[in-house]
Amino acid sequence: MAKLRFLIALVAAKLTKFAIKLLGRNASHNPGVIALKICPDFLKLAPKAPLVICVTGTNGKTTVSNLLTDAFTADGKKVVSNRTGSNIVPGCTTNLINSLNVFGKVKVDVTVYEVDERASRLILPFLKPDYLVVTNFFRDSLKRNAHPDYIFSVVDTYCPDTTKLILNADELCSARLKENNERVFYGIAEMSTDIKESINIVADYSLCPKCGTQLKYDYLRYHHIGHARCPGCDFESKNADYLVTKVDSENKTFTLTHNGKDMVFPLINDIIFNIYNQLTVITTLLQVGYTDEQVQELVEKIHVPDSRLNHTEVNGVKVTQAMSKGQSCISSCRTFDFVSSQPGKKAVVIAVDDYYDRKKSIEFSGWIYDVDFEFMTREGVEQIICTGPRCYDHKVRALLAGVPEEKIACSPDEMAGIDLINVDLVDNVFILYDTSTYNLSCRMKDKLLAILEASK
Amino acid sequence: MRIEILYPQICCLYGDKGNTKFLQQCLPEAEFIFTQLNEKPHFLTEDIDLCCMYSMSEQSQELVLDRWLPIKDEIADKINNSKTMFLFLGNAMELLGKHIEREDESKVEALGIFDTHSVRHAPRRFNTLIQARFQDMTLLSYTSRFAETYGIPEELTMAKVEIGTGSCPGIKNEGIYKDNLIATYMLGPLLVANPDLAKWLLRRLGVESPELPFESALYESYEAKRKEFQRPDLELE
Repeated sequence: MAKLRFLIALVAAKLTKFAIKLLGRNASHNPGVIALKICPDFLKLAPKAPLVICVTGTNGKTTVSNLLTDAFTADGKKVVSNRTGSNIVPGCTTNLINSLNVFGKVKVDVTVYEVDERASRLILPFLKPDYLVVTNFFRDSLKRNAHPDYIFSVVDTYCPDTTKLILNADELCSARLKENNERVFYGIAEMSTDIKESINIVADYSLCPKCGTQLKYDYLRYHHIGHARCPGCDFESKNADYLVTKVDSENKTFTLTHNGKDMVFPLINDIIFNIYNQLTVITTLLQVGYTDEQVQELVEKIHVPDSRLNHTEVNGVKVTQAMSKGQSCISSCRTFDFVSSQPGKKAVVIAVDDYYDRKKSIEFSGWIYDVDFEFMTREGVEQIICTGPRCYDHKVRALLAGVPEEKIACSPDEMAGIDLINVDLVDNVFILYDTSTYNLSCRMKDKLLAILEASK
Repeated sequence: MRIEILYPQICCLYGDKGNTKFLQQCLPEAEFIFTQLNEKPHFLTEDIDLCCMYSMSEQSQELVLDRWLPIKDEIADKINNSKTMFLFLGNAMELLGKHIEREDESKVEALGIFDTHSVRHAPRRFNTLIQARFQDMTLLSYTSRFAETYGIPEELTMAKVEIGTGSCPGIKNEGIYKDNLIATYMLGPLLVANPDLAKWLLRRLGVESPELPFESALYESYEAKRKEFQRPDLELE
């Protein structure tokens, strides 16, 4: 009976997908909804691909999932992933549907799932992945994700005991997942840019998880990413099985050491979080059985889509759109750090207010007090233009950080905020946008480019 | 003036640290003491004017209670009888009750200073905007939490909620205010977002005519938000 219901659900979902495709839309969510309505146990009952990989974590899971999918595709494998769909239950169910033919037989070699970390409790126990790849656990949306301890408890509770985990040794929270499972760790050895003491407001996991003593860092990269040890007991960060020992930005390569053997890989992108993303992908490919040489070839064929940054230069002024994910303090901190440390005189336009909250609600702006606005006091930041409904909150936050009031402008209307930029004062303008305000930021950029063109 | 911040490494979620940074600018002469988890709180043995404790994870609540239960009588005595002001934000309030009930119905013993108890409901997360009256002030804030707190008597209620929900479902009473203690589920940079409350607190600490840094910007932000709270179609979550 259960099998019959599963097959009916599968056929209905396939028909739904066909109908949605006829309408020219992306059928990445609704087929899963239909399947689950007919057969709530669909995820459990459906046959799985010979290789199932789930990727979760706060930051980087989309990039890692996409790169893995590209690598398997480049190797000629039949692979499906939920790259165009949601990473919660309906999106993952649709991905599973896509891995099956209409008779319920598996038609792919590999299925890659990007899994929302909070929704993982409803997904991992049923998919029973061969590998769970975890990028990191950081603070994220207060409303949805609460705090990283909660996310840790969800994944730790619901990840099956049979799954092998691929974990970030440099991230103290997720590195403690599923201690009785089979696990391998990746990491990056000390870099010249590393520090010993945190300069970030948010530095979670700075206390020893065993005894509560303040940890000492051998090296600290940002927030709680680094290698720590406890002066009060024997606790220390995990040692990486796959360790990046050298990054050569000039020649665009990095060296990965595993079991005493060095492997040199092309460096796709030298921004630190993209090195982590690439390392995560390489570790996973080596773990699933590819040889060093095969992985080196595959890495040559994959690209990191740098959708978070794009530049246009007009009349000597460089205009950059930079993603600064709203309500996610770590993403914003990374962007604030990057933007404020760029050379030249800069104006920074903040347009990160949530697009949906503004319609009928008031976004809780407490998260901006976890963002290092203090970076905006660095030399060269000539103007901060706070825009959107929460612009006055951003102004207060900037003042608290020590930004002089005369450098701050405010506009509740983002488009009008562009008029407040003093283009004669700066040679760089950064427009920081949230995932929900990307289109708006494009219009802001177009307006600014028109102003710059007219001033030629 | 001496201000103690309890366990800033773990009691610091949701922008709570903004309160500390703001107080440092309001009171540039004050000494700030940042107490580590394995240290005994300074307010137990030293003169402390204000002791702040902010939101934490549920796991951290239990770490704190592990350390506090052996000295709970000392803590209760200081909270009830000393001159120290206490400001507990977010789920720090839950530590003051008799117990916290976990999702599996097991109970974590708490300080028992008040005849209240809290119940966790994870994965259900409760989020709401809050507009509440405290003294003669209108506070604008937010709460986001897994638990509810039951049993706060009327006479100990800190604030009356005008928009949003109080400490448990269907209740408009929010938080605890008794003598020198304020404990509330309202969280984040509460003092920065509510300049009148910041002034009230400074007066309670003995500052005669408190002046806030960038005061006009604080009120500009507050007034803009207050207007938004009046929207008839306001969604609270």
